[in-house]
Amino acid sequence: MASAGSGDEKAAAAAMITLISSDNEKFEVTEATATLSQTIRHMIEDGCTDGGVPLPNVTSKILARVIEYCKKHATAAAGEEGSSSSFSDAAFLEVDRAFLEELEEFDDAFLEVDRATLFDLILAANYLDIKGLLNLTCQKVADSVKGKTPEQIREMYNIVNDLTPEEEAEIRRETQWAFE
Amino acid sequence: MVAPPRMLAEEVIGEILFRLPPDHPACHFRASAVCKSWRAFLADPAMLRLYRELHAAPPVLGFLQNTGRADNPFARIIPTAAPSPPLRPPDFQCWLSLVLDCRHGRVLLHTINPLGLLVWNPVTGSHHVLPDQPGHPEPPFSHFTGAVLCAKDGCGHLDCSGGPFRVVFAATVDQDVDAVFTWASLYSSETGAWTEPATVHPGALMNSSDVMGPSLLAGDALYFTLDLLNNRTVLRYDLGGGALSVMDPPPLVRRDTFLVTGDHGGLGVAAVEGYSLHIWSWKAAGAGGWAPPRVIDLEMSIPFTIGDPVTELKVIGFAEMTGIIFVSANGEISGVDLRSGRVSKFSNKTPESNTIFPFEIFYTLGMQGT
Repeated sequence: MASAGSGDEKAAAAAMITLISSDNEKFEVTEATATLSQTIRHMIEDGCTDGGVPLPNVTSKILARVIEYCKKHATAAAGEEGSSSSFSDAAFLEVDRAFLEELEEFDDAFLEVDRATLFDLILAANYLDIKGLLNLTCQKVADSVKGKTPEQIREMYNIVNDLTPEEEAEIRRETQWAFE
Repeated sequence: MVAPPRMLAEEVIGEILFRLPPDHPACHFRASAVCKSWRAFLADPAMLRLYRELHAAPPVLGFLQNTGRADNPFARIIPTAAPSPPLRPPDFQCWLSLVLDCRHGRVLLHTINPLGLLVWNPVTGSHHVLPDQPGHPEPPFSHFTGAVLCAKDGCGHLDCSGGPFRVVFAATVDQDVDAVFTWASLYSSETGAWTEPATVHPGALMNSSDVMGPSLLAGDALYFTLDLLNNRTVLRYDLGGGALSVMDPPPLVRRDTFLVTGDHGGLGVAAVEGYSLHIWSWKAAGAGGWAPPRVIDLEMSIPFTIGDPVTELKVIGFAEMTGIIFVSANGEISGVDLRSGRVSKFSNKTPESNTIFPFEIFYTLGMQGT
């Protein structure tokens, strides 16, 4: 039974899933890559991935980037599982650290995109329920808000100021310290 | 044709606002002035509760220290967030006060003239004067320490500074050097009363004016340092049963050890040895005893010159909720994250005392009161 079990695992690791973008482009990815998306994981569990997974909310341009992210992080996740994270083992700790550094560099480079792409990536990460990607992209926006005035934030993100002048005056009174 | 400007989709705004850094409260307040939907989100108590849960531990917004200056009877909180949210001194008259502890959004002050204990909430400025301990042992004590903590069962201490609290006050009497004793008593804001003091005989004290140190809360016990003739040891006050005991001293003869959270959330003791931070953990399981230390190398991450005789590295504070050990070196304070081992610069304000009390709180909209 043990050998049959490991055979199944190998088969699962090699299983390929087809993702179909809104503009009908097909992407072949491994199940390990695809299941970083909780949305797709549930579809696989429910057995509704035959004939490909249509993703009507995601363009091919964005899907390609999302897959690039998932591939990298799926490899990293597999690497982590294989290694020991015991504190006492310096060699393994070194490997883990190298992995994490490489991943951090990848993430930094991945975020070098224009604002529209960043917004689309956030939407895709939200829709596909990819925790790491959602965290990465939303943190980028949250960090960019830090140190900015409300006017600068509105300008950066095309937000319409719908506060009444009275509300604005009240906010400034309550929170004057934050504008100093 | 020019594409219409891209806007953030409404459905992900929460995902972004949830990630505003807790240690920069000003950015919450500025973001709340962007538009109606951002303001509604940042002022919604249910969203703020989720925000606190997501960030797990309240950030350090500053620290208190006792400087012994009489120009202001209350210790100011030295802010580490810029700009810093307004904090309010208590509306209370006294000649001087001493910070004994700071935990769960509250500060415990020992006031002089009038002599007494005061629990202060620096965000609202509200305070609570504790009644005198009715049966505290005679003769008068010469050394004391204290702790304040939330009294709510099962509380995660993310937003409990307005709720019920407990205070433990411990004092040591050494008028007769052969009969030194330490007592501790617990006050509950719910009953408004002190418990009968528990007493222990720790042995001969170090000859110093200040032999009792700040507290650590670990599990259902409070710990305080106590300087005996030969070593700095640890007092344990059992919050459940009210028993007071003296623990085996850590396996090092040092006067500058500091209580920190050890392995598995238990008692730990930290000290700098050479250029590295050593943390000993008390093994609660089995027969007890101190485990071999975990060592965090500070050489590369703290600004000082090796071999410089002026350099003194010293543990001066611990933030319990975030798990950050504060180390001073050459007038700067660095924070060592217990979980990751990462070191970051915390403040370039020279500490004016051997102990800093970190102030950890989520400072968000709607909590300042009126």
